[in-house]
Amino acid sequence: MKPMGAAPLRPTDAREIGPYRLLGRIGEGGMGTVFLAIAPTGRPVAVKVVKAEFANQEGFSARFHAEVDNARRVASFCTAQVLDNGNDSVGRPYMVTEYIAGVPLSDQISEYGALEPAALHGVALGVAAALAAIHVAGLVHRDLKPANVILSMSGPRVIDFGISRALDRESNFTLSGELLGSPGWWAPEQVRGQQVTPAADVFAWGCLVAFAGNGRHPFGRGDAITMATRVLHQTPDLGALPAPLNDLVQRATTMDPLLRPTAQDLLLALVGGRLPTPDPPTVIATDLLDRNWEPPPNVADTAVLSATIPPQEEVRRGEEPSVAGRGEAPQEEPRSKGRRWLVAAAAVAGALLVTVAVLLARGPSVTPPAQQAGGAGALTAPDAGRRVGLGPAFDDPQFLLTGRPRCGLTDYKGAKSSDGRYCVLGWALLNPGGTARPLAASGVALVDDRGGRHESAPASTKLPATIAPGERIDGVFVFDLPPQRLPSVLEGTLMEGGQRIEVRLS
Amino acid sequence: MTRTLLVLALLTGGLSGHEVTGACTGDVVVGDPFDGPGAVHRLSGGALVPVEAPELGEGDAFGWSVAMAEVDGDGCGDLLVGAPYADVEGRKDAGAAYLLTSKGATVRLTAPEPQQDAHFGWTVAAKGDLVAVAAPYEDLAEVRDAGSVYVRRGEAPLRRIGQDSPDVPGNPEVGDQYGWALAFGAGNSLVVGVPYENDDGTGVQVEEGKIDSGSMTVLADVTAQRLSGIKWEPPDRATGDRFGYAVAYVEGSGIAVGAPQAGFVQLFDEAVAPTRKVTGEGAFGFSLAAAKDGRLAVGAPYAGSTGAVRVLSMADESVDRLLVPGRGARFGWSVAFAGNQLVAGAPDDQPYGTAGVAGRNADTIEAVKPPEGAEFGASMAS
Repeated sequence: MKPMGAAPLRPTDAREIGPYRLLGRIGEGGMGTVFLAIAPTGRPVAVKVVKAEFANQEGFSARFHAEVDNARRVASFCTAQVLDNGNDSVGRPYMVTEYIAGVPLSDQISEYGALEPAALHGVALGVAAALAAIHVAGLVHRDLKPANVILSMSGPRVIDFGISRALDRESNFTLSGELLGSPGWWAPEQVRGQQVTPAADVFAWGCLVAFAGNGRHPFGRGDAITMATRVLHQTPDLGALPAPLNDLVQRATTMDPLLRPTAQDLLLALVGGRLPTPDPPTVIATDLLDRNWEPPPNVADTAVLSATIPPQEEVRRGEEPSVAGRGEAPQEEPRSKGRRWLVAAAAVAGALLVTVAVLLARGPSVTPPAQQAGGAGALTAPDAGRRVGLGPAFDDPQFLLTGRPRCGLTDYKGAKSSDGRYCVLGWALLNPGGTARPLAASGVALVDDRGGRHESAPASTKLPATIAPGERIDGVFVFDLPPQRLPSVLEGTLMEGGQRIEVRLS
Repeated sequence: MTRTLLVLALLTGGLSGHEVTGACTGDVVVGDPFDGPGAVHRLSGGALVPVEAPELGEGDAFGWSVAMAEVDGDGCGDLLVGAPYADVEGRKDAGAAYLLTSKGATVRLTAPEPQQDAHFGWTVAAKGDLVAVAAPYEDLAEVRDAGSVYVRRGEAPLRRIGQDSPDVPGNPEVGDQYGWALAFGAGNSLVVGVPYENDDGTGVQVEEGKIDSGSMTVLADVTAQRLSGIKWEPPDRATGDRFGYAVAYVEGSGIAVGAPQAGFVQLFDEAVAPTRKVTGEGAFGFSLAAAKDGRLAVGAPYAGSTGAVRVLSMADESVDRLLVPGRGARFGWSVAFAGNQLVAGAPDDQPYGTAGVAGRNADTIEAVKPPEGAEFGASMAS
């Protein structure tokens, strides 16, 4: 079993940064180094110090600290809470987060292969919740990848968010030429250098869940350029995922960022679409966590070792017994795993209650201007672009869904939704044959995911009386749905004497 | 900064739109007329490269039909793409066709007198710098949907050919939709499929007798001052056969004509004498493609639950292979040969349509899927 936690400090490393005493090196990346440290309170923390070449850029320090201040607003459930920031003795900025003991998802998959369904659902839910918390605070993670998801005893935790924006002003490269970030996990718009919105995080969520559920990256393996090219031009290989993840992951990895679900959509879909009721959300929350988080067996073992202090510090401990807090960390070991699980679960359940209430009460925010008001999303309908014959002959008139159904609109062309939200389905009718055919819409209805049938709203296009040979008619069907209902099937008869059609929408 | 730009340029393809680099023999062009206003890709050496579209209007259906021409003499196929629902000079759905050369030039072709709902660009065909564009729904004075075919060589003006043209066999009748299927034959000859032609004897007929039985005409030389041609109809034709729905010319062997409603393909020799008739199921004869080595691909997109393609040889009756994909939807809607490989479109396949590629003797069909789209594989040509 690989010992997790920290590697020993190097001789050239500082031993203190601000009030934090460094214990070991957790990792090093293009941006800076992360150290395991002890806070004056005795709490183990992670301290990230930025590389000198960034720190020397003009205005960097101010931007960095502004970003960290933003990051501190992010609710701590499923993330590593940001605790502090400052400048060290030589003026390099640093930030401090809680130290999460656990196994990075990247290591988990490479060592043990794909996650079991229970753990996979937990990861999908936890990361979606983390993203929802990050987005509601007005941030975008920008670097979500398995190495940034730690599987801990208390649940999956997303670390390392929000700071990369401070560095991304001029280029994605460090002065020495390394590519920052991980192109294999970037959304297409990120690769193209276009505006990065919360939708980019959702794309990374989709790739991450597919990776964890199949044990392989949906875009295969390769160097940065190869991966980036694939993200731009190929559809990801999403393998076989259990429902509802298969559908959510497919939607999340759509090329067009405007068509991906939001993190809140994901969260709601994963918790079963339940709205907060006056009845105790604590019951729902604790219930959710009990049912949803089953860390892989090795995590429990590893979490214990994560608190191990590297050997050189043990020697030092003998010399400086006065640092009271230091003794705390290893003393966690004797506590039984069961008790620790309960303690952690209760604390987290409390946080979940707060978080869910906050997320659902505030509603979707942080929508880039291009998105529809009211958090509209578009769905990948299985039958989009499929020619559905209105009659038995191959050149009888055909119906196609054009574009993708857009739902969640509070109003459409001046009409306001009375039931909740509009779903707009764009379509084309074709007559590829040689005879004019009579049209008559009859029984056109949208069936939602609860079986409810909804007739088309007045804003829908009226069908003309006939469709001439060779003619193409474009129009929309508009349906008024109660909130949180998802469209399932469009059905009806469109041609006089024609067959009834069913078009799958989800 | 420079390095970032270079990386992005490599990733997004820094060349202009449809300029082609590298070897381009064996390319296949694939259309997706419902991807927004329409889109076209080039399948080149296994890689799918999007082709920059000209400025299009909503719902133009650019990519409804495609053909490979060679107009700029560089040995690299130039694309001819139909957009039959384009509005031209204020006339709705008059239709247009675009010539996108491998050097990056774009030429927009329209009927000399664009007509509303004519759907110019419904079908396109090309041979070298000889180009043909059909407007099957073009009305001729009082004759609705008589249909016309427009041809030109190089940059000459488009010449209109219809059943009313002198010395062209046939009479223009309502609903004939002349030009539905086109294929250049030997020399400058043009094979025209007219699947919606009715038959009830000689003279002008309107919607009587055997409706939509279909016919096929071979025009001897479309560049000649005086046209001439041979018209052929199946002796045992029946209502609704749609004979002429698809046509193909196999160099050195002859002509093939599909009748998908009846479910057969009729083969002819170079003298336009019928040789063999092959039957099949599932709209057999919906699409046809010819290979230089004499093979003929027949699409049957409604066969089974996936569609199928049958590979025959004009010269050798023993060659008869059926390709059925493991999964797909409307596989065989379009077909094309590229070098040794056969490519067939399955435009209703999830999520955006698929082009299936099969090696000459291979049993497996590789799926090529675009990153986005709607009806990718609705049309293709090589």
